[in-house]
Amino acid sequence: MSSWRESLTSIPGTVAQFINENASNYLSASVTPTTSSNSSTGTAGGADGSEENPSLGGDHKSLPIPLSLVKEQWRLIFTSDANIQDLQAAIAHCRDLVLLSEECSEERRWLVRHLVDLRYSLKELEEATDAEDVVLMNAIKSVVGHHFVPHHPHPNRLKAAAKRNYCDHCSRIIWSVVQTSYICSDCNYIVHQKCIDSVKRVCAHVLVSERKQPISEICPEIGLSEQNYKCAECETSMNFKNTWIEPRLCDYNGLYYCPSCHWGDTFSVPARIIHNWDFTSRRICRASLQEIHLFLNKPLIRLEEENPKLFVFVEKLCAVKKLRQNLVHMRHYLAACKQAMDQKLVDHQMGSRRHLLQSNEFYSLGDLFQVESGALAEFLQSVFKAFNQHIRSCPMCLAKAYICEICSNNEVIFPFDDGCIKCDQCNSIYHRVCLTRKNMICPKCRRIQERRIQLERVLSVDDDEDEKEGQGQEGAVENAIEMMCK
Amino acid sequence: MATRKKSLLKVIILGDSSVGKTSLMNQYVNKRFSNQYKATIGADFCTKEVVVNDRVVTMQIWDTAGQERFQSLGVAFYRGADCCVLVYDVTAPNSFKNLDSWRDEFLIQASPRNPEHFPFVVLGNKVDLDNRQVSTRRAQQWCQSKNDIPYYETSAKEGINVEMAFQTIAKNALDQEADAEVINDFPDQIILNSQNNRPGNQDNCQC
Repeated sequence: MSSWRESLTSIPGTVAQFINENASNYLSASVTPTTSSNSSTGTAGGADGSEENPSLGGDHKSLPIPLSLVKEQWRLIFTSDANIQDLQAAIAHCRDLVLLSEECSEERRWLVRHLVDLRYSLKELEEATDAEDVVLMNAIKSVVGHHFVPHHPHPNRLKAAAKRNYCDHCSRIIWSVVQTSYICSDCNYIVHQKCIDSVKRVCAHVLVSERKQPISEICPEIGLSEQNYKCAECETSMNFKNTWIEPRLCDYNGLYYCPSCHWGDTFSVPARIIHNWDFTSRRICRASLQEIHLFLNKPLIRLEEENPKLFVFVEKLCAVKKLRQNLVHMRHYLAACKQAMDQKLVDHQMGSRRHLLQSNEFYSLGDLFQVESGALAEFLQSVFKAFNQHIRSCPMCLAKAYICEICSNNEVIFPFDDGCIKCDQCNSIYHRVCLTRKNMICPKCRRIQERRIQLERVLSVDDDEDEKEGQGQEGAVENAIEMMCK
Repeated sequence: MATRKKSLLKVIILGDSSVGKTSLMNQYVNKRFSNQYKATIGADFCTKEVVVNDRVVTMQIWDTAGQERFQSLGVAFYRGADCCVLVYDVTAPNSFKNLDSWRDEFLIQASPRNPEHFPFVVLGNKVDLDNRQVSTRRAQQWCQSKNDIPYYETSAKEGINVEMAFQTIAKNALDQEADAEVINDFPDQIILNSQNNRPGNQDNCQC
């Protein structure tokens, strides 16, 4: 117990005090129901005390997790067979902690995350009707952000044998016939049952949501000395002279890892794609691999902002950009068309890739891979065709087309047509040829400008008149309304 | 002559956002009113059968978006309109001042054959409210200056004058239809000629 309290030193004063005050009754309230959970917290506390200090000392690691606080809290609830009352008490307690924590602090972020988790499991518990559901739920173990569920290898033995799994913690093989293993439902971290309590790598899913974007510097190496000659993950001592434990560089985050945390996996590195359009695979550590996999389908990269020149050099990218721009225009039509909504045209075509037509800015890593392979342009072409077919055959969409006011031809034009140009100021669409004839000066914008000047002139005259007429006006108005109503 | 007239009248309602365009249409077509504001996206239309000059005609009323951010779509549907209804809010002077630009934009986009005599109707809506800002005289003056546009003060909420206003709209639309018919006699013949030419063209294509 004492070691548990010692480990609270990294929490802001108020929170620590609060926990210290409430720790004893909180523990007794939520842990007493089962003896097994009591013992598990005991061991966890003991382990924490020894592990805490080195991880706090190494500032290069910058774990966004206040281990002391989180490990205790998460374990408390998820390893015990908590019932609804326990969870409700824990939620109330966690909420209090959130309010006490500093704004925008790491503690608060983690507490909020924990609160969400707690509420989620409470909801599940309330909805679970069968005994089976409850058993399934209790099988979920939560350790440093991972949500471990029992891992069942492929039922077909041959296939199971073909794909060997290695424990992400001890990097030894998992003999699925004799050994129980767990897999994180968020980041696919696989672990022996015996290793589960000593897992150190924070769930990649947590990192991804904290980081919000893949690392944008190319391999930001700080050097082994900055890492105190220790592995960035498990803190095993290592140097280049000791050939047994060879330091391996992760090309994604620029840190050195020991061979059990860096298995020599290779993958394209996001920063190299964004800056160099370089898709070659580089060696990265396990944690980075899991992180990049989670980033793969998230549209988070503002490519044009990060590297505007890329669109000049990479023709494929330029083509995709133009297609996406056209689809954004088309989306306006489809969003306002009842028929298209009823047909779920957009859903059918785009599925989970709606971000491609929400705006032109965001790309996911997967999109960039597909730009390079040409698959994205092909996909967008087919979507364009389907949308175009609808818009040109739907009377409502046709009604919302444009007519070039310069040539006043009856032919309807759309913003996504070739040979048409859009005024960025007033959204009018013209034939490119027509607007060029007008020296690229938008006639509608000119009208708006003229009207504004005229209005200002009239306003100044009006004010004078209004003052003179002010008194007699009201009676006249009332009379007029009566007349109209009759 | 009468049989040749089309029995579909296309009416466009224009005006600033939240002046009550949708409400007026709803009041006229469905006899319903809702206090809740819901911005129109793009454009939509309703149809209603009316009797004008002892004839049954179908009125197609196009309700449009007044909000600028919902005007990201084109207005090709202005073409072929038979009447344009300009709506302003009597409690919002700016919506009245903008009538000018709504009218001009309509004439440019719709490019009717006879812009000077194209039938407009102006409706000052929300007369049921107390805080009136635009006087009847001012509105009438403006309407007179624009070739004597008919002017009505309405309340979509209370249903005041709505029926009467739309009756006028239908009547004026039908009158312009008749005028256009007279003017159009000559171009009609050209169209007939071009239809006569068509079989010859098709023969050429099949070669």
